[in-house]
Amino acid sequence: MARYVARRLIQSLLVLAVVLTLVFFAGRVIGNPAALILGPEARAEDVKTLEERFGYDKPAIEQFGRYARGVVSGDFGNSWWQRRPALPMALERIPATLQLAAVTMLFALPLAMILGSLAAWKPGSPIDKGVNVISLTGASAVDFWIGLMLILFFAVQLRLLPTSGSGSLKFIILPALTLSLRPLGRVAQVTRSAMLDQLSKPYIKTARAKGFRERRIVLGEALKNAFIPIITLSGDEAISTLNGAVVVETVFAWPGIGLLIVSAVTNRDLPLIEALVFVVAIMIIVTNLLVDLTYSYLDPRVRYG
Amino acid sequence: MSTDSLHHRADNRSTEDETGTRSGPLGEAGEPLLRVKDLVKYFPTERKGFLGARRGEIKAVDGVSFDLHRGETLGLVGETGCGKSTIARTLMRLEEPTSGAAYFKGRDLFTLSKASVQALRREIQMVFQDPFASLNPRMEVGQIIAEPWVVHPGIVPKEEQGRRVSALLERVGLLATDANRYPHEFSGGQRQRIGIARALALQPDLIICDEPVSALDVSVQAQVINLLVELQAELGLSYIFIAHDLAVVRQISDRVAVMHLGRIVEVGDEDEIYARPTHPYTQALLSAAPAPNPVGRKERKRIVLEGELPSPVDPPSGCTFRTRCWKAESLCSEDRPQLIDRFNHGHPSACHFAELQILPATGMA
Amino acid sequence: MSAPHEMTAGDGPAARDSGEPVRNVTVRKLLRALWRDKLMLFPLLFLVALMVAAVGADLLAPHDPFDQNLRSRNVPPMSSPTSETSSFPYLLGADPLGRDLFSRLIYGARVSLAVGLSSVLASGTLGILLGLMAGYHRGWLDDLVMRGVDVLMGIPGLLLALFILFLVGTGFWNLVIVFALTRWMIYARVTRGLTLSFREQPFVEGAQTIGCSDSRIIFRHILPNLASPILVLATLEIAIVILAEAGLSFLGMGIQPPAPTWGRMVAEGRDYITSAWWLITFPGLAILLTALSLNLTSAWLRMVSDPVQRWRWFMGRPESRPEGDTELATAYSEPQSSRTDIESSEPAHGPAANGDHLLEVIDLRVNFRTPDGLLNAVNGISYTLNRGQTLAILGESGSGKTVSAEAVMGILDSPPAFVTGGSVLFDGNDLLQVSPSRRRRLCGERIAMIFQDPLTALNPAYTVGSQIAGMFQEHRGTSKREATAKAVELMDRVRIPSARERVHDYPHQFSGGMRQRVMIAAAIALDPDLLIADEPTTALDVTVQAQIMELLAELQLETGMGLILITHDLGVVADVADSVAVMYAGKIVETGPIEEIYSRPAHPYTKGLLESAPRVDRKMDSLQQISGAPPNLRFIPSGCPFHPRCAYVVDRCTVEPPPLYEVRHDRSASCHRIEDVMNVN
Repeated sequence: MARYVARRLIQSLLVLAVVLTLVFFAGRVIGNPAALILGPEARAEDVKTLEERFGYDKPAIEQFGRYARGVVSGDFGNSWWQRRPALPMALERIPATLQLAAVTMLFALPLAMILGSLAAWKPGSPIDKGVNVISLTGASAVDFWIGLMLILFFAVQLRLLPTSGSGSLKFIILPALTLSLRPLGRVAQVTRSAMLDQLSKPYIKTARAKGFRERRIVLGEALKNAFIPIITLSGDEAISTLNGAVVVETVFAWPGIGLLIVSAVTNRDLPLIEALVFVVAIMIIVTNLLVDLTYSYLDPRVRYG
Repeated sequence: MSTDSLHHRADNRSTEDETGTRSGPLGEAGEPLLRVKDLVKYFPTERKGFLGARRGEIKAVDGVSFDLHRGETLGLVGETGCGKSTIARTLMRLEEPTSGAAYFKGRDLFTLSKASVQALRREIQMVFQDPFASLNPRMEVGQIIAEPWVVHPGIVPKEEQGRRVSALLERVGLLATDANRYPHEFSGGQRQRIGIARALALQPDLIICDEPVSALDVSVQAQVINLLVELQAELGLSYIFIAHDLAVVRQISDRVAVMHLGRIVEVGDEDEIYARPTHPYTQALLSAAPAPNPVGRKERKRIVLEGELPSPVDPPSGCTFRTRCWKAESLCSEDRPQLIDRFNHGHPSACHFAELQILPATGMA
Repeated sequence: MSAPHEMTAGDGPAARDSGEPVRNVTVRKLLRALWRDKLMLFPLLFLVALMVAAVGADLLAPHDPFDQNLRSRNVPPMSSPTSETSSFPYLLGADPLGRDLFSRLIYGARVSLAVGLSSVLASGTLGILLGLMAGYHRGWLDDLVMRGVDVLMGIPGLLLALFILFLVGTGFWNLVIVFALTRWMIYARVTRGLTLSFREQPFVEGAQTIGCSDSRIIFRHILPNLASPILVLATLEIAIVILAEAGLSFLGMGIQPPAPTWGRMVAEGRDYITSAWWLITFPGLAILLTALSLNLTSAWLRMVSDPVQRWRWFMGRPESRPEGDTELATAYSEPQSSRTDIESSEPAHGPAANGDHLLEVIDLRVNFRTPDGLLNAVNGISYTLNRGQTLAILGESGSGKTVSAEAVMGILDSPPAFVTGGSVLFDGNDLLQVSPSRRRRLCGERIAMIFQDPLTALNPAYTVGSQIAGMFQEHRGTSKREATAKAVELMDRVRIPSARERVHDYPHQFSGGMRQRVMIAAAIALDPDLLIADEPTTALDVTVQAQIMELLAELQLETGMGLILITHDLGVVADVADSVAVMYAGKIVETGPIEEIYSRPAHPYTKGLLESAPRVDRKMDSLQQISGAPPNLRFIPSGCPFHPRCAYVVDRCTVEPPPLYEVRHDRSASCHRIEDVMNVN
């Protein structure tokens, strides 16, 4: 197991290097940094002055050398927008996003699994129909709009909760609720179909023939096997909360990575974006590793050597 | 007994070389239609290690030689993983062989160019096991049967095709009007008939049947077996008939090769193998196969093999059957027994301690 | 290398359906399905209306979407216009620049649908082609494509889209390119997976053997079979792209003003959230309804195209009116005595009459309520079994042999299967009447069952030891430690070598024969009185089959348990059974002692089976054959169900179902012409 983790970490480092290289060249080759800063209406001579000032007129390979050395020492340069080191700016936003993601997943995952299992246990029942509605709504959720509607209702009309910002626990309720709709729907759906799948397997017949109680059959026999697709999806959904975070953090002015990404993009801040890519990539790698380790714990057929 | 055709009596007289291949067929039979020599097929298995991959090999077919004559049916019988289906797939070039040769009408199938393989498809056809998956669900039966003529233009002109499809359908016991229906509208047995009609479309000399009846209900199996036998008599076809069911193989085959872990352990005429088996594995198989006759079952002695079938990734040294064989001695692990005719019965077997066993024919008078 | 196993996995009707690949979706099938699921009209009509709106926006919009009118800034819905160009009211109000919200919504539909459809077309084409090539040719191309898929799947799509748009700038075509680049792998992954599996299908190999070129195989044989899953996927993807486009628009990275987009309309209305609720409400609703309709359509298409899905969605909701064959089906399921006069004149069977029988099944009936109609799987069967005796239930696929055993055991999948009549007497109890908990105790402890495929019948996630030990823990409350020790003993008893070391291994680490021994060990754990073995050796090789049958015989001799052996194999029956019940179309057509029946069958079907089976001990000139195929249980023939295939058929057989006549005191057959059948012998 330790060897497996070591191998995965080495692989991850390689992937990280490739991603950062791609990002660098995408920024320098597809886009012109100086033009990016100044926007589409910039005059040619302004672009040229800027290129010379920041050294963007030098050969790409020379720039890359400087960039690579910087990355290794954790230096992505100064943010153009805030004029301070980009990496710390990105790093200090992690806790807020993690907090939001954690609350979201802690709320959505268990609830989704319970709902999905109940639906699969009694297919066609009112619970099952309810779960179908939830998962369809989750898949169709227009997160930014739902966030605004929640603000309209709970903050503006009822004045129960703050409209936006961060601080006490009250602030996290609405954003987490908005963000949880999609994972809730998707995980409930997958749990339902994975459980239905397992409950129709021959080994369930065996368990019934053995005279096991229904609870043992559903929770003991089927759920352990159904966990594998559920965990896969949960990992994907955890990563996808970053998608949602961009929008939801914007709506609720939640000071996390997502909000910073939007600011970096609207302020055309290339160093900050490069630093953000680095941070996001690491978050993804860690999530994937956790998912893989959970697999090997759950499925005896997956053994890493 | 089925017609004891001239050519396999000729085979009985032919001499055997060390590998069990018949050298120089004599008399009426002439050159064999197909001569397989030392066919080997290993599949690589990948096991991921810490760095890169360690490679192992599944020895699916490990040096198989046999002859097939015109108008003859050769049965290949054996248990799961013995390599019988792999032989079919390599002969059809669905898999590339690791080594060996297969001379069909004198040309080596395995060294032919891609274009020549295409031409050869016209002469060798295949019938598959699963009647539910072997027909394209999106094509009408007529299209399925006529497709060979689309792929090989010039055999049957377009305006002729409809008539020929009808004729083929009627020949295999279906209705001409079935051409416009989809495969899912047919039962398993009927689908297998469609598969046979498709195989016949190119008028091949050889049809390889890979477990053609094992997915069918008992009451339908006989229909398909009888159809195959009739077609053979009518069209002079040769069959390689692959099955795990010993009774089915006996019913249809002129000669039978018993396979174990990628090798032929015994080969000979149908009545030789079934009534006078010499290899312990053949004897065990026959003894394990339940006969549909409850009379005297208490007295029947049965050889029940102990232990498990060895893995084809790491087969035992020497004789691959020795781990389950009650006759095994140290010689068996050291020396791989050759397939030679040990009793001058015209049927060679690969066992150092081969022993003739005479099995009585039982059942109805 | 293929496993030459018999394909008789469970003879329930469901098993037959699921064997088929995904069905073709034809227009006719869609219309029929729509007729059945009328609620689907709403999302479909909404989508049609949306498309009409998008195409005919110029004609349909009551106002110019760009027409600013400062006098009507943020006016609420249904206000009269102050514009000179049109007198139509502002149906949904007006925006901060005084533009008609309704008209802007209609034009917004154009943007959403155009982006959605173009992106799906672009990403779909790219992904499907790559997936086909990767799946068919494999090798380096496959590696490359799959690496790309893996990497892209791991990246949050919206972030990637933001990054690319940041570099290349926004605009319609840039958006389409971004979605093509960030969504192609969804299609590539699905297409590749399906292509890989189709490539192994015999029909593709069949195409190879007749000499089809690669491109012909890919485009004529594989691609058409992908149509349904891809259609389902593409519909879903349109929704995803439309949602993503709205999100990007909201963030200001979508199509730039002045073109109206739903996402930006919400963003623009955000500042007026307290004063003008309609500004965000209606565009948001438009996005939600569009996505919801597309998602519903996709789910519905999947259900229509995949019979298993349909099955699942409608489980628990038996269709009241099966199509077409209602009369036939109900006529057949009406109770009718299939026993002889002599038998039915006997006193009513009850616990008292059970006597020395271990198990007595009386007039058992089971049907399946499926979305396609009613299936009569078991149509009134009766049999008895004594201690230490072996009864073989012999039948082909669809004969009802497995279903009847599962009904006895109480493990039918219900729905769709329902026991509709009869009784199962075991030890003075009618198993069909006792409480569920009592039945569970009886069936778990005193009746045990083993199944055809020991790999799937064992739970892959638990060690074999715990699956055997579970019997003691569940029924005896034994501690885990003690139960595991007993499991080792049992594994020894069924002769699994080195049981102590292997007790903690998982099922996949055992061979087929050893797995079946594990099943048997769990079954005999509590010393049952009756063991039901459903095709216990069908999935095994003949030498292993002999080992297992020998083990069962030995255990039976030791424990004196009764054995019900369900099989299609005449040879296995001849080898071990004391008596046999031959089933056809859900009925027992002949029953009696094994020697009697094998030497002088009284039913033409039994006789046909015995004569048509090839024999290992003799080669026959030609096999006798039964014409035709076993009947579809939805269309069981009238009169005697065997009559269309029967060589002895007379007019009477087509109308009058034969009762089970007594042939001798211990055997009976269900045929009008028993004497003729037996005499011809």
